[in-house]
Amino acid sequence: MSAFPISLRAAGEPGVASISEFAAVARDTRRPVLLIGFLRQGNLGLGYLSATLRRFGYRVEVLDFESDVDELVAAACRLQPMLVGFSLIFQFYVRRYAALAQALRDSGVDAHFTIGGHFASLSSQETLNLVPEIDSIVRFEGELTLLELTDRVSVGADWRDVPGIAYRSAEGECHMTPARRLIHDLDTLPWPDRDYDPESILGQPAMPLIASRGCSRTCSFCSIHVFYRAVPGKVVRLRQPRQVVEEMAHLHHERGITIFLFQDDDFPLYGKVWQRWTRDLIRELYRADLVGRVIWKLNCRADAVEPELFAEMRDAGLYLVYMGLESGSEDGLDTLNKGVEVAQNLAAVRMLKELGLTFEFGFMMFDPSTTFESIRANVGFLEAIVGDGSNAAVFCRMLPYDGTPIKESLAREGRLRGDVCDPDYDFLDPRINALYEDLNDLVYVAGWIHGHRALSPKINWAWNELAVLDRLFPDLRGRARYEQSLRAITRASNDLLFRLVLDLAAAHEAGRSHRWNEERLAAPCDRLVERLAVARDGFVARNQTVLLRTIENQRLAVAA
Amino acid sequence: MATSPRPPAAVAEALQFRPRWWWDPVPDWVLDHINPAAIREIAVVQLTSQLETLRVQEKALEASIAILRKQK
Repeated sequence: MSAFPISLRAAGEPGVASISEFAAVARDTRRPVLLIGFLRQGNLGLGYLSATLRRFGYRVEVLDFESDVDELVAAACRLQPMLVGFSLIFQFYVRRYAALAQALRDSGVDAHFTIGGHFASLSSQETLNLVPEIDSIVRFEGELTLLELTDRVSVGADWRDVPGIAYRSAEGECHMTPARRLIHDLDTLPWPDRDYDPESILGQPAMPLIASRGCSRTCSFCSIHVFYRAVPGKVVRLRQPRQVVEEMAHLHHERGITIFLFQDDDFPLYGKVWQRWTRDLIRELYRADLVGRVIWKLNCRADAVEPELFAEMRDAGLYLVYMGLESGSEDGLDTLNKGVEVAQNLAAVRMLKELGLTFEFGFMMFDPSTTFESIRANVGFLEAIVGDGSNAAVFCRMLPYDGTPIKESLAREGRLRGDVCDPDYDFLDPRINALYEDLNDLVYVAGWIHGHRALSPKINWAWNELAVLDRLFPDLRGRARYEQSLRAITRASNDLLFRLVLDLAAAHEAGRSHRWNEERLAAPCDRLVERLAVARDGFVARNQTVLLRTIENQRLAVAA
Repeated sequence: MATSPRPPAAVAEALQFRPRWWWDPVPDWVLDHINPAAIREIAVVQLTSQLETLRVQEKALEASIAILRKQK
């Protein structure tokens, strides 16, 4: 738990505005608060909420939404919480949350039910309609609103004027209170609770964290900028580099964490001010003696990649860069309002390769502007960036989530399809609809791009492991040969995937049949998975003694 | 269907290949819980319900046409 106090924002904003006012608020902490959310990635949002409540004396239980419903109901009945907070981070879970809330009520859980997240914040009326058991919605950044709501509920006071919430009025309408300002100084929040075991990569424990909140860009498919711009306050807020590094040092020394995954909406890298911030972060990492002991990953856009700064970050532990490239066609990038050109995407990948940095990327082969020509451009782009086997090609279809500008524009054009749990749209050329269905069935059902059985993410995980091996372990026997094998497997997988997409596109464009089917794809897919397993496990098994000794030595050094 | 790689007995627990892609968890979850047979089954249910909807709409349209013809 952090030693940093919470202080609240400027005068003139709605609600409680200073830590002393919060301290003076009447509260009854005897009954616990139950938070339920998707925990598989180490839910930082719930961690921040839980830490904030605990700081003010509340007992907080955090449960995994993926647990069995009966288990969640049993836990809630045992705990008898005063408030249950549901963290809805994927809008297509909304009906499952409704079912869970109903099951809790049916079992006699009489707590105040509240829900938060992007969808609930941006589509409050719909959320109240879809989840009838919910009493309120905590809209936008939730730490202070949830705290104030909990304080009111705990003493049985009226909560309907808490700033930043929505609730059902007596007439059944959605009533929203004035929005609460964004938290200006993120370092006034306690560090997030992380009451879970870390994920690990080759025995190296990994934890997520953030250095900033907000995004200055306006991509049409993303609701992040809408979420932060809908309320007063500065959109992008950066933590102090020293505070970020103190949190990293704490996690390294107390829990042995060696891999840090920055989950910022967009890591601050643009312009002189943010680049100075990043250089300060690097300096703090050296000062805390973490360089060489820990490595880190960040998410950014292609136009943030710049050789000098990235070389400095690499030397200070940056080992993996995730870029939202999104499209290899100019029309696609325009439709997605990315504000970059294909040439910038290509240049960013080239720079990362020259710097020897492993990269991953998000890519939307299909978006509302997709044509046969753009599909060919996208495949050409993927061939240009990963045709050398440096990474496995992955792609998806852009989906029109609530709160995004593109959803609004598709609705205006009458192209919006599906519903809240399955938002979708029609392509302008109906042949693309058929192509997408065909391709989707083949690559998904054959287990290529998505799912734990999938080939492309498995290959990329192997590249991720190799980057970890290079940074946290000594030189290993057969490393160069393993990289060659991995590259050959990746190239073979990419070649097959590109051929599939191009063949299918050509067939659908010409209105003729094609030769691909599940069985034809599954066999080479299986063979490549097998080759990957043999190459990877063989390499690891040959170096096992060194690897295990290194992990053990690192643990001993941390303990000392 | 691609299968999970078999970890050889020689690889220690801590070093086994455990892909986790936390940046793209959703399709994982979906496909971890449903297999191709289930996907087809869902498609059958969706198409059947679509068919049922179309049948109801057809009946409603016939009724509307009948009313309009009477009024003519």
